[in-house]
Amino acid sequence: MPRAIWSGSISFGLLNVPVKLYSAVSRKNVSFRELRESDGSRIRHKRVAEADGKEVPYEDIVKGYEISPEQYVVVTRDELEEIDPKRTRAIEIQDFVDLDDIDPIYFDHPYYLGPDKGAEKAYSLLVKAMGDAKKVAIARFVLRNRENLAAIRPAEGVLTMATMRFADEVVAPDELGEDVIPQDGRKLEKREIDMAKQLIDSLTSDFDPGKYRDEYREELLALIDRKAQGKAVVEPVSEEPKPTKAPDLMAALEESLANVRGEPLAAGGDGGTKTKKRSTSSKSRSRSKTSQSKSRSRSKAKAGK
Amino acid sequence: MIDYYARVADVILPHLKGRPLTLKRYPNGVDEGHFYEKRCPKHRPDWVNTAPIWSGRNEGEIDYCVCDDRATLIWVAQLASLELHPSLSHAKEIERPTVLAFDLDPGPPADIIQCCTVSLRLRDLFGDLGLESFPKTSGSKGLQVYVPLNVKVSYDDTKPFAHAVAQVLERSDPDLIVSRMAKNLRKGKVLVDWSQNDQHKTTVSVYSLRAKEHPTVSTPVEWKEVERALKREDPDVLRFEAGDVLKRVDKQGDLFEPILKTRQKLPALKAATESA
Repeated sequence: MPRAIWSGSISFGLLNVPVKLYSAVSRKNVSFRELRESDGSRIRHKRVAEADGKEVPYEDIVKGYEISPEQYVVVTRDELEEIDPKRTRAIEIQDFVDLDDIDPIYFDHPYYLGPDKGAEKAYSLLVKAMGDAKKVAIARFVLRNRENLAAIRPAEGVLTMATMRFADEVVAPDELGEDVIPQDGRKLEKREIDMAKQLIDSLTSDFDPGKYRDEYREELLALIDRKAQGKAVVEPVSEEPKPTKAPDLMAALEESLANVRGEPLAAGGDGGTKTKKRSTSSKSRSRSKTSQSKSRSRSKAKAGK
Repeated sequence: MIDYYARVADVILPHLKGRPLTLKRYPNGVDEGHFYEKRCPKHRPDWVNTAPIWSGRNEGEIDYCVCDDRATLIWVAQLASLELHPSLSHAKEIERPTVLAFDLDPGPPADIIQCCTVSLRLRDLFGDLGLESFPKTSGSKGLQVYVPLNVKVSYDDTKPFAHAVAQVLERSDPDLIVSRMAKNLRKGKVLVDWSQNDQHKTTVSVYSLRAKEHPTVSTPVEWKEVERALKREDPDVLRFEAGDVLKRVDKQGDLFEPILKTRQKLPALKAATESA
């Protein structure tokens, strides 16, 4: 028994048909785990703060919308919850349209709608009526906090539902400009067009979806199978690997600079004339912020030792 | 604008030649929107050279324009590509930067004068390492410092090195210099932006116009001009518009010529392990 991912009811006018939602797609993607090449240790991703490299727990993470580069408006979870679409359980039919009127570009993810307990009769009635009318229902519903548009149509005695993209999500060709719209205005010759049409005719057949297979996936799975048989399988080491310090170029650079300058480490660029130059330019800053000048004199004192 | 590029062609072309070029286009003037165009427009004339460069983000190759001659430069200019942003590499050896570049970006109230201080520190630091460096204005708010390499080197060498340089500078004067990008750290300080040393990044070309109210130009300058600006605390010493630049080129030629010719090796740093 496949598990329903959602339950609610189709409603239009006075009619109300309780239904359950099932995905019509079983993903067959081959997914990989990330491992370290040298020892097969699993890779763990951590959320770290850019500022100091420290890990940040989930509850300390807020959402920021980037209004201009590195300028964020922070939106809290509470604020998001407030504007969440109401969790209604209704698939509200707005219109009935002809299938041919819908450009397939609008279709997103396919689902099946099955009858909920006790609703078999109403469900069958809806399937039959829609099939006879040869119409597709356009409906709105909320799934996982997201407002969705969907097309519902009968097929082989059941209702299928495809979520749809909103009109403003679909990119019009002229928004892409010259990358998709041919700019070359040379006249097409009739002979060329005829030849192309002939080619199309010679390849024309009925659509048989079973004819096309994901050959890449098949090859990939065959490869994995061969490797698993041949025991070329990487087993992760269980013990904690010893942490090794990453090479620190900065320390190396400071060291070689110190060698050249004959200065103690951490003195950095605070030598001779350079200090003079900086103090002229930073006069105004140190006036405004006393803490800054304090910390600077501290670092100088350290350097002098 | 087209006239400016036509007249500066002799000095700007050597800096664009062979390099994948990103165009920053302002089709409706500088007050309105712009877009970065990496993909060389499809309607290009067939004498415009292009270079296919692999782009991870697009999972495919992008044909970049390569501005090799005067005609291409004029054609690019008439596309309203006000700003020219070439790669630090040649298309033929895209993984080999020919130069190390630092972008000094002041966070207000800091301005180009603070950048002068920082650029001179950079100059001295490179001097101590036996490397010659060259300054140019960004044509916007800051300064840029270039270190010509023109030897066999990769971004895996230059980027960590540039990062280390920025960190060392920051540590030497944390009140003035910052090496991390976050905008809120930059207030009153100068960001030493080392991250430009990346195959996928570009930096505004020397002699490129900038999209500002006035037609300012990213202009190569002499270190003594940087010192003069700092001494007088006068940002205008380092502010050049198209007309000024053409006059300077007439008089001084291309101050950035050494960027193309000088061969310098990055110092071999023994990667010490941190003793924390």
